[in-house]
Amino acid sequence: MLSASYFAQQLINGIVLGSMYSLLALGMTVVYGILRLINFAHGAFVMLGAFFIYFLTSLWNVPFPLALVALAIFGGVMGVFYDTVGFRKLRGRGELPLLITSLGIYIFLENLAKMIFSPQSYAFSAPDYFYDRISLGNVSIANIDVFTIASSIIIVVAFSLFLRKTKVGIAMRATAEDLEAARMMGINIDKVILTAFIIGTAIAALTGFMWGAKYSSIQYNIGFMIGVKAFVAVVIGGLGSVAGSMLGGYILGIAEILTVGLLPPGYAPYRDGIVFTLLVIILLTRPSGLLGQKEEVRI
Amino acid sequence: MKKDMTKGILTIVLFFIILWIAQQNLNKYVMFIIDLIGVYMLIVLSLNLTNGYTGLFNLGHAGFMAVGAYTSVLLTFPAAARKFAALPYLPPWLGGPNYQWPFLPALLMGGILAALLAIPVGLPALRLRGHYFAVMTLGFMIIMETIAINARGLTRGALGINAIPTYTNVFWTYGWILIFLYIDIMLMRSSYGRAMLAIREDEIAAQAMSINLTKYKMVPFVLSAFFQGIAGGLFAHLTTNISPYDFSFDLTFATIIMLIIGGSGTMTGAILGTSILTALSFALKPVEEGLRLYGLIELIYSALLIIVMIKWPLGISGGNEWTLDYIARKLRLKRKDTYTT
Amino acid sequence: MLKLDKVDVYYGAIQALRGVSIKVDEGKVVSLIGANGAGKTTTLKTVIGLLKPKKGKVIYKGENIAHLSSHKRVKMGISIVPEGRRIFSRLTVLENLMIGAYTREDKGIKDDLNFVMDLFPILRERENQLAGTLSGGEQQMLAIARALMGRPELLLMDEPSLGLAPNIVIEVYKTIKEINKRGVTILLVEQNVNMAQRVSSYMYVLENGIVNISGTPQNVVSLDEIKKAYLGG
Ligand SMILES: Nc1ncnc2c1ncn2[C@@H]1O[C@H](COP(=O)(O)OP(=O)(O)O)[C@@H](O)[C@H]1O
Ligand SMILES: [Mg+2]
Repeated sequence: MLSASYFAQQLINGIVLGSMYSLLALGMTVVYGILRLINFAHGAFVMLGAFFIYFLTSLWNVPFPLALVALAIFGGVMGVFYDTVGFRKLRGRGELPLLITSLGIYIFLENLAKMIFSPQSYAFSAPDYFYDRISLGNVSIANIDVFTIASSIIIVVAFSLFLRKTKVGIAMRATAEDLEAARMMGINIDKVILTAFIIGTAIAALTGFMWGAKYSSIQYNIGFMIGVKAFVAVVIGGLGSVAGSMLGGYILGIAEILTVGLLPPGYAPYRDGIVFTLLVIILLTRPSGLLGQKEEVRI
Repeated sequence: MKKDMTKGILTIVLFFIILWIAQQNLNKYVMFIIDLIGVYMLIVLSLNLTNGYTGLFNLGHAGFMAVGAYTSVLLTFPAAARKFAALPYLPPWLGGPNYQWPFLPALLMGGILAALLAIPVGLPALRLRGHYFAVMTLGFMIIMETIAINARGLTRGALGINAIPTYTNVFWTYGWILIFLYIDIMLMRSSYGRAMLAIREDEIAAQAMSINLTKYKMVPFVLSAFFQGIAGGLFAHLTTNISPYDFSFDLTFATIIMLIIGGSGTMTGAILGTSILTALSFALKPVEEGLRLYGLIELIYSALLIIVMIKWPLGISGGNEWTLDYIARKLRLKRKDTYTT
Repeated sequence: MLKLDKVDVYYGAIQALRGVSIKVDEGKVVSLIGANGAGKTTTLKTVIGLLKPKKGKVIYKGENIAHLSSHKRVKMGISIVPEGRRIFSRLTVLENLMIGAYTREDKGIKDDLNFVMDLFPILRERENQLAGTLSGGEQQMLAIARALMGRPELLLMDEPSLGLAPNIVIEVYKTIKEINKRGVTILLVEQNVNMAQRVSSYMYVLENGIVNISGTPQNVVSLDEIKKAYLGG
């Protein structure tokens, strides 16, 4: 029997998942806006971030807030490597080579993790206070869920402000609209792109913590589906749109959890299929997404 | 022209004689590897029709393989063993509960179903540009995998199907490759093939020359799905057990990497890439297991992919078909170089 | 101020400029005219650094800048008004202007903002509007203002009269004169020879990537072939 409180609980789970998709979609959409790169490797940084903070807190007992800061920095450094090793050398080579390279980098990172951490899954736990629950009438919500929802809102708002108010943010929007004109204005686009990657991977690494804390287990191969689904969220919301990535993330997260929650048990494996059916429908009926602008073809 | 033909036929006959001698003398494991290389080669060659010639970056080929594999297995599975294996009996219109299909028609049926499925998939997907097509076909592959996991009555779900009769041998695999190569060469010599290449070079210009894009993309897409279906059947009857995870990310990416490293857009590139990388993976397998470095092979594959993408985007073949003439010319050029220095 | 010395530029295998040499003296307006596809835009892109010459030198203030990146060149005082304006339509007018000053770190940005808004009062009225909502003429003003925000010593202008109504073209050219009077050196690319000759002190004619004719505007315009090709007889 579907009670109202069961439904509300599932809705919260959907919003939490949606928050994580939003955060990842944000990083993807920014990079996509500038480079037209569908960043398959984005999910790898979620996985690496999760392992990074796992080792910091569980093994080396680094105090949690400090570990979170270290995690963001670690994510940023990965972004630097990712851009300089992979994409700087591929400027101007078109969309597919970029996509293929990101796929290659994803496979590389996943298997590196498999070799280092072994194929087994690790029990992940955040500090105890994250699992205390706040009760709201019939439903209750864990602190980790509040943390995830609040962080995603704060990060998305902060990022929007960054895009509106700062010099680099404005340059980022200009570069996304017209890369060549941006170069003519003296914008160092390599720096802009690097900044976009750093922000995106740092957010992805932080999401790794939220993911591990929510689902209590991490494994070398969690990244791919997360990354691909975040891209689906980007497409739903509209490529290049920050608000769209948030909207797309929530829609996808809620849709996914509700299909699992409402379908009879045993149909859970269909959820990935449902996500992609959603993608197919959006691509066919509204390729610029819910809030996106029509994109120019960039050669 | 006539001389070419005799030469070609002689080469083929010689090749099959060598295969026969190999089969008589080499051990089972080595023959299995040679067979598997053949199956992969058929996948990669057919992938080259879309990803190489036409510039359609298809990531859905594992889905078509799954169709071919499950179809062929369901049709050929021994009637007596079905109950024990929890597989359905054939309905009357397919021969009834006591019937099991011979290999060839079952294989063909798998290919045909895969090709038929490619039409409704292609109609919408082929209208999408560049990397959207890639993502959409990836979605197709994932949807197919979900179905294979959930349609337990047909596929036994995640458990997979075991004890599939072994039918595949080198004559089957390399025979199909031969058929494929013949069709591929004929296609690329036709005006159709030239239009496909034109689409790859410049989609907008091709449209301006009023090439009906979807039509010219559909033929290679459906044709490659057919051969992927065949390859799926060959794969099932070679490894003798299949599960949905056999037709998933690992296979998708491994074959994509083979094509790109060998050189997209050339048959010889596809052949080289498949042979080298598959052989490499079997050579590395003892190392991986001995050192317990699981993932080592994929790590090397992907590192090679990244390096190739950055340094040699045309792959090993360099965008040229390595025909005997081409190799001879290259060698001659090299020799000239050494004279002048 | 600027000298191109036997510059060859390629797009892949296609050669777009063949041994182009031009000279722009400080404080002057020099124009480069030529038909569609002659290589005018290519020349400007080579000066601003979007394209790198395969051969030859780009000398700016005595230094060969041929291999410097664009942002360094902009920082050295080169600005461009690109062909087709290329304003950022999803940014506000004010944001577009700030992008023009992107490479600057000095304190004078605010003054320059006031200066360009005095020059084009319409931009002040529209400062918080998205640039994409401006009319064609207003967008051209914005493109010029944006370039001025870089406080250029050398201003490159690519067909500033393209697609504008005649009265607006006249206004644009008034502005060009005004800017030059304030000491900005200008390299002007035009197909509108009639307008270009009025402001220039020297002219180069580009044909298929080669400069064959150059001279004072009076001399160039009096040539029959120029009259025929650009001035309607
Ligand atoms: N991105 C490009 N790729 C290849 N060829 C180009 C490109 N841009 C311009 N060209 C070619 O270079 C030549 C000069 O072009 P351009 O400098 O734009 O001419 P103009 O500005 O005088 O009209 C033309 O033949 C044009 O076709
Ligand atoms: Mg031009």
